[in-house]
Amino acid sequence: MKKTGLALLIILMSAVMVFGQQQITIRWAYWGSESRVKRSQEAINLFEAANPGIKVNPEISGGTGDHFNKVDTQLAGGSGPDIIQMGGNINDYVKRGVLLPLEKYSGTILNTAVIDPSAIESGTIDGHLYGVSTGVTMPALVYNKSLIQRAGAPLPKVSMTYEEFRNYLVTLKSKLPAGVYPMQDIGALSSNSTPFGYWTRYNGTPLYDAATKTTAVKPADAQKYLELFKDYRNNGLVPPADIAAGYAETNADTSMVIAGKAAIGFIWTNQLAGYQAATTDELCLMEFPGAAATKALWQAPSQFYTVNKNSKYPEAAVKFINFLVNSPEAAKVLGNDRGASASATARAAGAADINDRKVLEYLDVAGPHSSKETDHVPNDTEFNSTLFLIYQKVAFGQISTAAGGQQIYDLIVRLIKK
Amino acid sequence: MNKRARKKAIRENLTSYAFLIPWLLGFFVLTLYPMIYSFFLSFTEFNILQPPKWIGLRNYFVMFIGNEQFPRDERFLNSLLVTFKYVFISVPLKLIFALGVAMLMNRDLKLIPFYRTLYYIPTLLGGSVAIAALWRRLFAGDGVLNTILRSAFGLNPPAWISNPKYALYTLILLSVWQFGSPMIIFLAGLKQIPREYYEASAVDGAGKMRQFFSITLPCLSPIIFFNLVMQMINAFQSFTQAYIVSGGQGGPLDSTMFYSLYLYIKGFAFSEMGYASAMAWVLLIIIAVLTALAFKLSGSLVSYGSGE
Repeated sequence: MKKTGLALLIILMSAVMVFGQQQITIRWAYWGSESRVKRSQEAINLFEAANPGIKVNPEISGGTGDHFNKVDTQLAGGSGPDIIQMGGNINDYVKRGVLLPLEKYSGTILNTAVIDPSAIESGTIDGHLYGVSTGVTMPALVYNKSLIQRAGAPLPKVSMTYEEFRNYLVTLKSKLPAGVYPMQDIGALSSNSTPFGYWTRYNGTPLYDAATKTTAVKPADAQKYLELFKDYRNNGLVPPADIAAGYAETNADTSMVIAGKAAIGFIWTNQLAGYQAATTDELCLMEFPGAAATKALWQAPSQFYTVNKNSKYPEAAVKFINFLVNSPEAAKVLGNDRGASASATARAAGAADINDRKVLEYLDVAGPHSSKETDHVPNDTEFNSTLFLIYQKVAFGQISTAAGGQQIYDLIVRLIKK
Repeated sequence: MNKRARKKAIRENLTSYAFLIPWLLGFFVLTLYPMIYSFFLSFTEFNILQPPKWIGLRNYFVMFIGNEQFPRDERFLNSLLVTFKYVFISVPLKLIFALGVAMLMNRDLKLIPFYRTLYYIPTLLGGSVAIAALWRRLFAGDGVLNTILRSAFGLNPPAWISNPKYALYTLILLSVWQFGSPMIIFLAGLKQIPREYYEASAVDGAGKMRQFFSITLPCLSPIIFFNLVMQMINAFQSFTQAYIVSGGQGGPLDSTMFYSLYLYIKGFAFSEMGYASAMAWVLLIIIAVLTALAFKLSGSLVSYGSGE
């Protein structure tokens, strides 16, 4: 009898432990560098303290490539994370039908009223709100101010024409020590469709129009782009192909600018703090050349928070997203890391960090030099990877710029049809 | 057979199957089913998240032939070429190196067991991500090797790992450096060769060279053949080194785009699982054909001895 009582007691106790705990866990998959991981963890701690019963487990990848490989596999296996960070490829995922429409939470647990309408619009596809913008970001050139000052060269102007820019690179070249290049080779990036995308806008031939499913780029346009950088390369303004290929440029850890081997490089404004954290030199932002006259820059939703259609706890996930996007406490710890906030309540918290202030200053100048974002070429990942290969073929002298231009054109046309 | 004996036999069979269940389960669920499914997928277009779409032989068509509408996949052919080059250079080099070291180790010196362990270490580490990352640093443009070449010899060496001319050879070197397991097998083989052969031949006036070609190689030929087949199959499936050393890109200029790396990129980065499955089957066929060829050739070259 005594034994039975003991057994019952144990069963009762375990039942209380299992069912009594109303703890739920939501999984948040994102990519980013160390500084983003730290900031995100602080935000998670704040959220968990304010919402006992909800636990947030981050699932972190170093770069976008790894992130999406992992997420795709998890989704296919039916164990996708609840919250998925998305980039310019959000359309591809909406098309595959794996994301949850969020408009039904709008006004209740997701306060969309304080978020800029343009940011809401950017996350709305086919009439449904699939992604909540993490903030806006802009493409920019980053320069190593300390390195340039040590070399005794003048600092660059924030806005320049292409001609001024080339002259400036030549000046830099004459001052910099051997083995340090004025600029990183921008085509040899894993996200090279962004600088190329900028140049096509500057050239007046945007990459893609989703409404008509066409590109304005002709082989001769792509060839001009390749020739621009060939000229830089032949004059030592960007490194030779084999040096450039040594830097993967996927994040600060593999960046030529951070390694101190190039004075100017490409980043998105929201990456500034992460890059700055990786070096003791001071980094500053400047525009791509020619933006003032052509308004070829653009503001982009830096990333999106999206919810997995099969999430078990969509409410908790949306609640957490609302906290990340709208709450002043979260805004303070997250800073500009995922873009300058598009939420009025978050912006009211102000920018505490020097890098965040530098970004805001840049946005003030570059904002007026921008126009609406061009649609992304479908199959973003393949576009970047193959564009990179073609660009490298030209850089290593394996094919001519004319052949390269033709191949880029063929690639765009093929991906649009795919 | 009477009824009782039959019953007993059945029971014994069932018992053995019961013990085999864990293995059988693993075989059917984790090996056979995925294989059959991937064979089916190889005739489809499949982006992982939506159901596969039947397209017949198109994946295979695009790999080897191609036309106006579905152009031939040049990156595929390049990855095939890169892999063949890698296999046919690295495997012989590795075997020669392993045999050489094994012969050095086949002596009765005091510290030999220690050296054997020492020389095996690269093999334990070799497949790891850390070593691949180390390799990247060693052979980078401003890496350790180049720093030495520059400061000690005043040379102006290229950036080995990011130059399409040399990148593959750094990976071949990495593979040859992991000579440990063929070395151990060679060593075991060398110990099997009766000493009397060498003693007798020495009496007849045979030198070291003659002994090597007339005794060591023929006696060792089954072992060499075994190592050759195993290493070849392994080399065809190399992935980690290229993935880490090239930052997952197979670059520069696809010069380290191994077959399995391209398969991975196609499947997981470009979301073309059907195509990736087709590639996996082509690789299986290539390895099977080459192994069969090796067995065929072995008939005339391998001697299994007639001593016993």
